Amino acid sequence: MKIGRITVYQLDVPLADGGYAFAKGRHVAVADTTVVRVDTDDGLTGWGEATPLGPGYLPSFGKGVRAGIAELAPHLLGLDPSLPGPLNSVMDRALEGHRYAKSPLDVACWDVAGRALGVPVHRLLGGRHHESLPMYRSISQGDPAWMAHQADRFRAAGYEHLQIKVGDDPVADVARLAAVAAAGPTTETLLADANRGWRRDEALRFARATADVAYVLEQPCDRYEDNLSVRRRVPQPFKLDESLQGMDDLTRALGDDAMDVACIKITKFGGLTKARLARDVCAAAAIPMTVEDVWGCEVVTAALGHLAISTEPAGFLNTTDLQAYNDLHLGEPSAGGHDGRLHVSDAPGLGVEPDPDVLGEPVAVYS
Amino acid sequence: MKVTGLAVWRMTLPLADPYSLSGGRLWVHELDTTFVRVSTDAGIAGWGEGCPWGSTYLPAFPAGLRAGIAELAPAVLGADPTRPDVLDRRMDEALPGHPYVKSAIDMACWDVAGRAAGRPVADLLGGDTGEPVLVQSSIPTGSPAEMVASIGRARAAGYRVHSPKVGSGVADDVARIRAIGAALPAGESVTFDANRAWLPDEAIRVMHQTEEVDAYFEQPCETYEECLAVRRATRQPLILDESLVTYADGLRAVQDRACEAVGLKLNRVGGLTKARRLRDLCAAAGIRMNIEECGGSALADTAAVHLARATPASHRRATWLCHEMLTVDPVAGGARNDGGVATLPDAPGLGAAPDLNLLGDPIAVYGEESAE
Repeated sequence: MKIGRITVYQLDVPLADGGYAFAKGRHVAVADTTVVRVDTDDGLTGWGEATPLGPGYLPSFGKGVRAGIAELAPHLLGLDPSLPGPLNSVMDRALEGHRYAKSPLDVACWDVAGRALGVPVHRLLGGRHHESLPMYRSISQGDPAWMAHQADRFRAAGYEHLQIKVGDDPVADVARLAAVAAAGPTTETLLADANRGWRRDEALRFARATADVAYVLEQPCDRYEDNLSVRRRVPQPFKLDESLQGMDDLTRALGDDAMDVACIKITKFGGLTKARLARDVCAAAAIPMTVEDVWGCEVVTAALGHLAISTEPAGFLNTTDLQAYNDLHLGEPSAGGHDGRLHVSDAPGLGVEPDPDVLGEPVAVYS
Repeated sequence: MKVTGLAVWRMTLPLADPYSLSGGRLWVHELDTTFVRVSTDAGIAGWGEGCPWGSTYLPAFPAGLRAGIAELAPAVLGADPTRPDVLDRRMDEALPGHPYVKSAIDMACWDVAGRAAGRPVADLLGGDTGEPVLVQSSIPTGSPAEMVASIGRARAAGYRVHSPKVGSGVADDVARIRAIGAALPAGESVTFDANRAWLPDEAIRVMHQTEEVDAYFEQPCETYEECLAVRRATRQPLILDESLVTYADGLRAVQDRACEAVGLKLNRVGGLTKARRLRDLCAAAGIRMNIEECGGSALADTAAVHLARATPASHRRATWLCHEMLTVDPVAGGARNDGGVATLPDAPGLGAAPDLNLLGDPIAVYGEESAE
C-alpha cells in the first residue's frame, strides 16, 4: 500500500456563540481549517485536519499549515501510510519543527491504517479502555453572571467538568470563578484556565483569593519557569498546557514535578504518533490528562476521541468534543458528545467521512 | 513614521560547493532567500532578508517564511518602523513563534530607522565600537587531511578562526580533531561544531580523548538537556547554537551555566531586536558570542555585522559570512571580508541593498509599495 495522492481543502469555520474569548482580550470568531485527504494506490482513503485557534494563540497558523503540507507532501507520496514511525521520520527529516503541519498528514495515515486493517484507530493506539468519556466544557470569558449562566446551561446538558477562562484582571477572575462555582455541585470538576495571561504576582494573588474553591489551576503564565515558580507556591492542583509542546517539555516537567495534570493536544505534539508517545509517558507517570486538540471540526474530534478512549484510566481526566464549538460541520461525527460524555465509534479507521459538498474544491493536490 | 508597503522577492542563491554536515546530513546546493522591502510614509525604504538553511537545519523553511509574511503583513502595515520593540511585540501577538519570519521584517525596519536617523544600524544597537569583527570559516566534514587542507585554503583567504564540522563516529572525529589541532598555527582558533550529531556518550568520549587540543566544541547534541549533560562531564569550553532560540532559552543557559559561548544567529532568534536583547544578556553574564546569520546574501550578513560591531570585541568570537560561499552577489555595499575582518560600509542604515535589476518583480506586495 502506497500513498498515491494528497488533497488539501481549506474552510473558514465560524465558531458557535459568535466566537471564543480567552486570556488578555483574545477573541476568535472564525477558524481557518485545513482538511487533508490521503488516497492510496489500492483505493483506501484517510482524513486528517489541523485547525489553529486563530494565528495568535499558539505558534501555528492556517497558511503555515498549508505551506508545511506543500513542503512535506512530495516526500510522502509512495510511502506506506500504515507505518507511522518511518513516515514521521521522513517528515522530520524533510522539515524541521512545524509539528502542526505534520499532524494532519499523520492523522490521515492512521485513518488509512485502521481502514486497511478493518479496525478502529483506537485499537491501533492500544485498545478501548472506556465505554464513554467525561467531557469538559470550556466557558468563554465574559462577565461573571454570564459565565455562571453558561455554566448552568452546560450542567443541564450533562457536563460534570467545566473550564473557566480566566487570565484577565485577577480580581475580575476571582469573581468569575466564584460565580461559576457557587451554583455547582461539589462533585463537579472545575478548571480555571489563564492561558498564559497572568504574570507570577497575578497568578499568586488569584490562587490565594480562591483558596476556598476546589479547582485545578491551568497554565497561569507564559514561560515555563514562571509556571513552575507559581506551582511551587500554591495549594491548587496544577495543569500545564501551552508549556507542553513536545517530549522535551514533557520530560522536563515530569522531572521538575511541575504539574498534576497535563494537556495533550494532538496538533501541538505533531499528530497521533507523537501524541501517543506523550500520552503513554504521562499515563506511566500517573499524570492524568486532558486528551484533546487545539481546535477542530469532526476529523480532529474523531482523532482525539480515539486517542482519549484508548488512554488508561489512571492517566485520564477528561476530553472535549471540539466540533460542538463550531457552527459549521464537516459531516456526521464518529466521536460525538451527549449528556456531557464523548462516545467513540468502533467503525474502521477514524470512522468519519467529511461531506464533499461542505469541503468544496481542493486548494492543492499532490500526486 | 508608518509602514505603508511591504514587498517580497524570492531569489535562488547557488552555493559554490554543495554543502553537507557529517554523514551527508543537511545536504544543500542552493539557498532559497526572501528579500523584503519596507516602504514608509516618510519616503524612506529599508531592506531585510530571511534565508533558512534549507528546510531541515532549523525549524524554518523558505515557503513558511513567505506564508508567515502574508500572515504578518496586516500587523506591520501602519506600524512605526523606528520603534523596533513595539513592532516586535505587535508581531509576536499577531503570530506567536516563527521567529524566522519576523527577522526579515525586523531587519528592514532597522534599515529604515538607521536611514531616517542618518546613522549606521550599529549606532542604533548600542553604538559602533569600531573594534574589528573577525570572520570565521565553515569547514565541511571530510577526512583529516581534507579538512586540514580546507583550513589551509581558508587561512589563505584571511581566516584565523575556523569552524570544522564533525559528528560522524567517535574514532573518525578524534582523528580529525587531533589532525586539525596539530596543524593549527599559533594565533588561530578552532571550534569543532557537531551540529547536534552526537549522543551524549559520543560527545563525552570524543572530548575526553582530545583534551590536549585547545578548542571550543559547539552544539554537540540535539537537545539542550543532552548538551548540558555533556557540558557537565567535560572540560572544554562549550558553544550552544541551535538550542538558543528564545530569550527564555538564554536565561536558562545562563542560570545553568550551560555554555561559555553562544551562536547568536539573527534569523533563528527572530531578528536584530530579539538578538540585541540576547546580546545584552550574554554580555552581562560573561558569555562570548558568534554573531552571524543562518544564511543569505551580503544583506543578511551585513545586519549581523552591525550587531557584532555594536558588541564589545571582548565578548565576541567570530562571524561567519554566508555570502562568501555563494556564486552570486546580488547586493551592493554591505559587510565584506577584508583579510579575515568584516568591514562595514560608512553609510546610514544597513548600508546594503539588493540590485533591483537582478531581483525582478516582487512575488507579493502588501499595502502600497513606493516606486524608488
